[in-house]
Amino acid sequence: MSDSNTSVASVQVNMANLRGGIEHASQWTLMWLRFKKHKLALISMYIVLGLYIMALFSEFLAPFDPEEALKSNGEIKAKAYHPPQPIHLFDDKGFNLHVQILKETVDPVSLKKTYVPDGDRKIELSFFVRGFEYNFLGLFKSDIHLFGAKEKGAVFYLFGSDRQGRDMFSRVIYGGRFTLSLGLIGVFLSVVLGLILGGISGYYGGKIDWFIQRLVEFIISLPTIPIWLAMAAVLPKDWPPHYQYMAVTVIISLIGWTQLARVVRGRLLAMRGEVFVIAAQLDGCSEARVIFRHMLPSLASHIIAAVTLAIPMMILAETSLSFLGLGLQPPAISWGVLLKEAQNIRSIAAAPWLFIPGAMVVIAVLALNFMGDGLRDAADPYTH
Amino acid sequence: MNTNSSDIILDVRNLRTYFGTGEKAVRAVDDISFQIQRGKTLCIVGESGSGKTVAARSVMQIVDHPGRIEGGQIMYYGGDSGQGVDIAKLDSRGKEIRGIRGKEIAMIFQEPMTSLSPIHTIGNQICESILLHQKVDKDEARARAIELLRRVEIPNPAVAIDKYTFEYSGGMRQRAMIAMALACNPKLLIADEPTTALDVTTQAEILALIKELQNSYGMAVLFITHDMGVVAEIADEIGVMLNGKMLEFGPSEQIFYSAQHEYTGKLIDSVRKLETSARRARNMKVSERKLLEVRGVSKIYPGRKTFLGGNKASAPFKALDKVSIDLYEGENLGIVGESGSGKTTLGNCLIRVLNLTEGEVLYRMGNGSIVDLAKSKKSELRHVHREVRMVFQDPFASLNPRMTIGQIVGEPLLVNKVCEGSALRERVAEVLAMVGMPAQAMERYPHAFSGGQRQRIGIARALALNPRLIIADEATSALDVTLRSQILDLLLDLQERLNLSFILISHDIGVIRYFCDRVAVMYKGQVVETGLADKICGEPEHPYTKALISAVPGTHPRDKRIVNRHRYTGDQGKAA
Repeated sequence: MSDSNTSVASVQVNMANLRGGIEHASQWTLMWLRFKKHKLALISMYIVLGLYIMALFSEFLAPFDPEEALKSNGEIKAKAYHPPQPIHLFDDKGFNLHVQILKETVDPVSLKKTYVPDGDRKIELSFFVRGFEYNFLGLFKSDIHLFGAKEKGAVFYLFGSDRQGRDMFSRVIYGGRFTLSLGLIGVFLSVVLGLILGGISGYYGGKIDWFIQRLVEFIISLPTIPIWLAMAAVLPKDWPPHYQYMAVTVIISLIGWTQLARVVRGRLLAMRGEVFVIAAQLDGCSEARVIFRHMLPSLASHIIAAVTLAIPMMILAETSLSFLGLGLQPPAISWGVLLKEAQNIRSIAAAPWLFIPGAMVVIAVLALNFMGDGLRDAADPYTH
Repeated sequence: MNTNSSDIILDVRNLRTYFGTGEKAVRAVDDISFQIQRGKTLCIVGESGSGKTVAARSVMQIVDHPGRIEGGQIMYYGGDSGQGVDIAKLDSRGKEIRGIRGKEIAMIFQEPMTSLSPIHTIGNQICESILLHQKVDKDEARARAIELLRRVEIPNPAVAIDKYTFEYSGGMRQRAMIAMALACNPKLLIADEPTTALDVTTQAEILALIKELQNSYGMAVLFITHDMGVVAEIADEIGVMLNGKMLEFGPSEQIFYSAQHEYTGKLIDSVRKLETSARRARNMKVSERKLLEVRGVSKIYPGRKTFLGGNKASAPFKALDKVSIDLYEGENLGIVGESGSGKTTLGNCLIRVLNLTEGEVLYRMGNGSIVDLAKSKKSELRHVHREVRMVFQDPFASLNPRMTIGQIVGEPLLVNKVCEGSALRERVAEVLAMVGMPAQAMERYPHAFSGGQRQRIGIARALALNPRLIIADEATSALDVTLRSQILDLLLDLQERLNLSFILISHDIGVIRYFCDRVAVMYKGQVVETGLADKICGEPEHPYTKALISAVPGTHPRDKRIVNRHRYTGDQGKAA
């Protein structure tokens, strides 16, 4: 370290106290090092990543068309409320991916349908099989799926089937796409609004600050669910799904930006008096450069943490709206729409697997929350 | 040591306090031994991170988690039975240790604001301490609390007892803390940097008070400090700590006049060095031309209006009151004063971080034209800011943690479009070399550097644009003593090479005497005296300056100044 020390000053600087390794580390590296120590957050991050990959590659991952009532070869009608068929890895021949075929029997007295294993009959599964045709993200057409039945036209239900005999597994995967992406896009809109309004409020202060803060307080004081309901009720029911989708996103994020605006304002206000910001002003930086080069980078990590914590709010909001029938409407599929199926007691008793979308919501929200907590702790590598 | 063992109240042997476990454990206190004698003062002195505070806290068993006493003995001989108790063996939450804490051994801390509860009155807090350890009723406790406040020289104790912490000034709070510590007549008082956060005149008052109380109560005192001057004033015995080890331990005069260890000598020298003037030693010349002329500058903070617009919530506050000073080219001007005297406000007004209420600041630019900084527009200020730069007090807060050193130092060059690309890198390397930092530092982030190194980087940033005037606001006060003179020498070296002028704002008379040609003394927003540094520091005229100078601790145990200090009471409310 000191071999090329071209010190002209009379005093030699002792560089021995430089800590090895991390002195080159940027803020992001430090943040990552700290985040990695938070095991729960790290695991949650992988879960979240997995969920978003699932949402992105829904068509490829889903074995069946989520809209199609499934009929096996030669059957006349689809099997409603078919229970889940777990995947078996081995049979007597050794490793062989398969599910057991269940036979429908009807109790002659109560007329209750029960499904029992149909002897040794099974459906063999394999990877990269051809199934329904899809248009992948509008880019190209394909009919390859990650897995499916070896025998063409055979039907199986990993998560059971719904009232109309549609495959819940495929529907959950497709539902994740809507719900999770709505969380992201909603938060993106919130961030844009929150950053701009919070930034103006915090940097300039004074009357503008007063006005924006009163606006934020007003919006926060509104009871959210009735407002959402009112706004959603105004939406025309005959809009196509993607219109509905955008409208619901906008409605949710119109409320969501307030918290972010407060965070941004608070941080900016605190930072405006920081010595390094004054130093930057004395260096001759323009106002824009002070904000974007010196202040915002310090905020970025906090904003990311705030955003991660805001996504679950969005997901929950979407789920509750759709559950109440005021968000997305079928045929659009989201976890909230799927949960609407589980609204009556009969279907819960007959088909508890209709709750699987609810479990997915819980997993996604928890994972995002833990990850957000970890990010928030890691965002400031200098505090303990 | 040839003292009778029964005179020893606390005998610490081979104390080790570690943070963490295993190989990675930080050995905050690593095998130290010392003794404190009844009624005497032991000063433990060391720089930040030397383990002196942890050592003191170990004695009370109040080391913060995850710190833990790893081994050694802390024998306390103050108990009624006369038998020794090994504090290190006691359970840190047990009954026995609680009987010793507060009752036998009391502690006062550096920052009295955070160690006093803001929601209870001072009286309540003292009474609680009395009621906890002594069998008296409430009225009796209150009477004693008032007596204690009177003992620590708080004016009008019967009224002051019902006030809250925030109604006390810094010095008053420290007095209240001392009163609380004395509530149960402790036999040992541990004082952890009790005067570091205080002004020099207040420090003198508190030191004198501790000394006086020690004599009348017969307490032993364990005094933790980094200031050799304070040590010289009050110590009977001295322990010098470095990196968790006790380098030297012995009677005060022995340490001061025949230090065994090189480091101790360095500590003492760094204080004595500041008793001299480097400017005269270097034989520096000051030109006749005025660089900066400050005329009648005032800064008034308007009073706050009440919620509905009435105007009685608070009166306007005059932070600066018609300040006029001159600065000549090549000169070092010191601005000295206590906290709240307006010296930092003045610095900020000169460079227009703050707008001034009235007055003019005439600056002669490099091209000869004269600019009034008080009225200049933003674009004009930008030109001035290329010539007038600032070095800040806190080396940790003044560097953006998200930028590399290269970016930080290069920023003024970049935004002023002086150079870019490889020319920029070369210039940054050149400036870093000037302050004694290697070019490799450019790629690193501020967190990789120590306080002293960061301050050098801050200076490099100021130098990047070839300035003519540098305003240094307490540029050395966040640094350890040995670093302090290094940085001052660096600035003086740079001045010789680069034809700079300095305005040094400081509360530290030693730093001012060492560094400056002329000094302006500020008190309550006004300049009360200006003159040559030697004159001000040697034979001040204004009574306030006299009080200020005489409150500065000496540097020899035989030269106890605080006892003979001059007290300034010319203004109401000055009684600490």
